Amino acid sequence: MTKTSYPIGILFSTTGSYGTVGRTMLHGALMACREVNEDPGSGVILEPTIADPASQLVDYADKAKAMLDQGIRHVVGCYTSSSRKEVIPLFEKRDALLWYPTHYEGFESSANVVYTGTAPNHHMAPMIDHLVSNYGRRAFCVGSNYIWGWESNRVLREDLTQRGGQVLSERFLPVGDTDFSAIIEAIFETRPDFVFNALIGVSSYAFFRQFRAACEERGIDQKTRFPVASCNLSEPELHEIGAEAVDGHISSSVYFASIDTPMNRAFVETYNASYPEGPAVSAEAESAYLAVRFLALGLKKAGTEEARAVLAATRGQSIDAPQGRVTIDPETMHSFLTPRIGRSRKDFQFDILVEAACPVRPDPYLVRAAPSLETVSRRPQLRVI
Amino acid sequence: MAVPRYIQNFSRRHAILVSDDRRVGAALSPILTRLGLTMSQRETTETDGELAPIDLDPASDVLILDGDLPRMPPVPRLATNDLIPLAPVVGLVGVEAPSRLKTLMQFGATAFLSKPIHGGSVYSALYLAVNEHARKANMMDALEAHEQRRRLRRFVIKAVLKVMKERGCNDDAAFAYLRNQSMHARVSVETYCQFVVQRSAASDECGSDSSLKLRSAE
Repeated sequence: MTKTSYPIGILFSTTGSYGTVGRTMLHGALMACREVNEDPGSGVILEPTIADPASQLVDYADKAKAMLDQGIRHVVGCYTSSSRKEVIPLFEKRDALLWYPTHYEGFESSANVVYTGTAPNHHMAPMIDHLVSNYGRRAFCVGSNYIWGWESNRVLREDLTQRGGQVLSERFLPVGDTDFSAIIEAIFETRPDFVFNALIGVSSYAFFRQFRAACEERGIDQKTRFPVASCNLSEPELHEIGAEAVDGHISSSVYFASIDTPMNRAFVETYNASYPEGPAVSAEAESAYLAVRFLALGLKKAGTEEARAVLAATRGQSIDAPQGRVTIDPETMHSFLTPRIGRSRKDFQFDILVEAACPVRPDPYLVRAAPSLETVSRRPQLRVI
Repeated sequence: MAVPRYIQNFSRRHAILVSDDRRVGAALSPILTRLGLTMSQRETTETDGELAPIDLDPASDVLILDGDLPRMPPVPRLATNDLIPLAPVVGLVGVEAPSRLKTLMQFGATAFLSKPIHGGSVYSALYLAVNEHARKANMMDALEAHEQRRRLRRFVIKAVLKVMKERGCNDDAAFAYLRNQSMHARVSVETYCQFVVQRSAASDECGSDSSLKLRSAE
């Protein structure tokens, strides 16, 4: 079968504050490129150009623009929502496609983006169900000070409020900040049932370490008294947290390396053999892998790299992925994914506690899940007469 | 005071696009579907192009009104206040001239959406239009309530004088008494004073307690 070569861009921050996750995403994307290129039936050869914005927001637009200037029409990339928002106008202006492989907070559906990561209904709703059933309804929220933290906390607050619970406090830190002493004191003062963590990168790792140490100083078993739940905690980050504080954390995700299926075992083996120096395989790596695989399918079916044609060819496509069946929703260009809840272990893996029976339709605007009216905290409804 | 609650999910709502340009409908329809809305288009060239109150469900409809129409159909207004349209209105802006923008605002638009339509702007426009429409309607209701209380001020003065005379107290004590009684009756002090004055007048006319009953302002 004749193969057609297409240049693609891979835009992940493999250095800087969230470089660990970026490297695992780069590895996932490159692994998919290799498999596509080696597959005689794939119909395409992908020629990746790699750029590293080094976790610096201002560098994303420049790197993406340079790729588009080279004639690249498809870029797999971005981890943070703020970086995605930086580059989307470029892709819309040049009518190119961004293949975005990260869990995110939703409320977006650009015509120039294919989303292979989770929408909020994939990661938030199952996590809140699990936390309320097992720990309680009083949350303390800590997050990085950008859209991921703000919006994740809002969804949590509304859902908890509807269930009669409450958010006791919300604290946000700039991306990269690592001093949590005041926040940890506030957690001890407010005594929540659980802590919701929407920190990213080194901030998140530092928080886990400092919070575990502070609990141990006070003779508190952090894992059971103040469990920490995240929607962005994956295996490579467990290594960054370190052995002293790694276990007992709740993660809501669609992929864990411990998924026990032949397909996932083969995926993890190939990944580990390809990248023995790490970082470990993660949900983000699988999502980047899927983005490239879907891109290759779209290019093959379209027979051109023109964005509209590839987009049309990708609508409704399915892949048997390491996490299970994944399908691109023709309506939103987000993905049907299988939500899972995991709890971290000392060996830097997750025990899977809960798993959805089948892939769940994406709902980026939460139109099927959220009430039409914003939920507000319960308080006396006084009326001046 | 009740906490204001913003509407953020537009699923199960219906958008009525008033435009003669089919391309606008083709561009808007998939975006609105993603947001959970259904959409229909009315063209002003149709015989039934005019909007009647019966065509609009204030609880679920959103009007998207094309500012480039040669003649815009009148938008039905709330029965209680003719300054507020019956349903939220998003103005579609093609020509960004002040006259066009003014016309859309006069037709009740509380948000604008520029043409050609960009998918990323639609949710924001809906959010602003729907919530601003609700806020304006609430403000107009509050204004009307205050206006009603202003009209009843004369009853407060009369009731205070009556209580001062009956109880031999000063005006502060008389007002405090009336305020206390109104709170017990769960009505505004103005409404309670109106009741006191009218009951007294009826009593004077009939020589005994009348059949006047205090009804809550609600």
